[in-house]
Amino acid sequence: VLSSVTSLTQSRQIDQLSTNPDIDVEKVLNSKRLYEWDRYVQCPSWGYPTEHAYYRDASSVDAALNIRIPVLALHAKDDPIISDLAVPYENFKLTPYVVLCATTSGGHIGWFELGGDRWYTKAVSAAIRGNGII
Amino acid sequence: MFGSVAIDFVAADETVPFLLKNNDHGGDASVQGQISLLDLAKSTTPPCSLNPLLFNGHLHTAYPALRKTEDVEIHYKRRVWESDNTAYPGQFAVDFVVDSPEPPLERDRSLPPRTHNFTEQEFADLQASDDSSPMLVVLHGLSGGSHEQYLRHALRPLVYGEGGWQACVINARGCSWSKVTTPWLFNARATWDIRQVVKWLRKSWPKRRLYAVGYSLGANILCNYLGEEGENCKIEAAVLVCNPWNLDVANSLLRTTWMGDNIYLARMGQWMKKLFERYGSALICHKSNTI
Repeated sequence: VLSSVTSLTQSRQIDQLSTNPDIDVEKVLNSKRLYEWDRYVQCPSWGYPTEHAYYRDASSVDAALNIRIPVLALHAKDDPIISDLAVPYENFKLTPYVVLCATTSGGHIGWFELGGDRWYTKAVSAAIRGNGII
Repeated sequence: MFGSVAIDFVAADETVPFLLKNNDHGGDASVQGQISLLDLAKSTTPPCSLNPLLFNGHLHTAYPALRKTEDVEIHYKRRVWESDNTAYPGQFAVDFVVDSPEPPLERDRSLPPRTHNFTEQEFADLQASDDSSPMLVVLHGLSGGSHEQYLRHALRPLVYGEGGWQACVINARGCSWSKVTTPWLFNARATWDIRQVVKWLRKSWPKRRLYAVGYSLGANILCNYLGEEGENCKIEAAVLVCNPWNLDVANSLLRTTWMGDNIYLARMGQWMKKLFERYGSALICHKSNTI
């Protein structure tokens, strides 16, 4: 991190800082978490007042209800990044187009089987192929 | 069974129906007529039996980092597109799956592994095809790209061997070593690039049926896109893998645990900072010029 700070401060980009009120390079470089990055880069880039406003506006939770093609959603209940509480279980009961397939384990895009294959790769293939029955 | 994992399906009482293939087309004689999306999902989804040593979600998530997993060979040719969006102009890269080049091409150090730029002639030839292969459009996760192992792993059985599918990966702006020419990268509801590509695919290959799969943040973008398209959607069907759905809730809950804040949010923050270090000049210089 230190070397990148140095390389950036040595570059002319740091001069742009004083003329650009929107992106604060120092804050971006000192940010440690994704939400800080979103706060200091995405918010000024897109005009959101807070990272929460960005997250609320960009969430796909309600867009799901406007979908009019068949969709299968795969989710693992022990996904450590996407909490089960972020998954709109009630929405899936309101639309005929989206079906949730939730496994008790699998993590975030993990689903490793013995031998190293990944379960979701077969689930994705089977879903889009309709497995030859449609 | 050891390692067996329960699968719950959650859906409305009635889901959209599909026409079943009749027996002449290789379907099972016992299944004729219609099948609902829910029953189709139940009948096509394979049983889930996972490595019992990976006894929680952290281990499944971290497994590729902990242990070298199988290399999955997928070759791409890249085409850089100029956005047709007047509000958010810029460029983005689309990687089309191609056969392994013969003779093998030298690594292009400006692109991810096994990826080369299309020549104009190659791209014209690609477009000239009039085939009716099914085609998959893929969106990757946060700061990733077409080279992500999780994405290649799912592509391989479809595109190579007896797969019979065509596929392309839309790289989010600034990702997968693509250049940024405007003061913004991608965001979680930036649907304009997939919209432009799907229109182009539909026009270029009217006989191909189009499908889509999105992973993680790419699933969120895809879900937003499909919702925006509504009745006019040109995609036949789609799969969302690990969609974050509610980003504010997911973020807030991650912040409540030590692992969430110090491992996952920190790791994702690092990825994004790398992008910034690469593209900061485009984001900042351009911005100051326009103010």
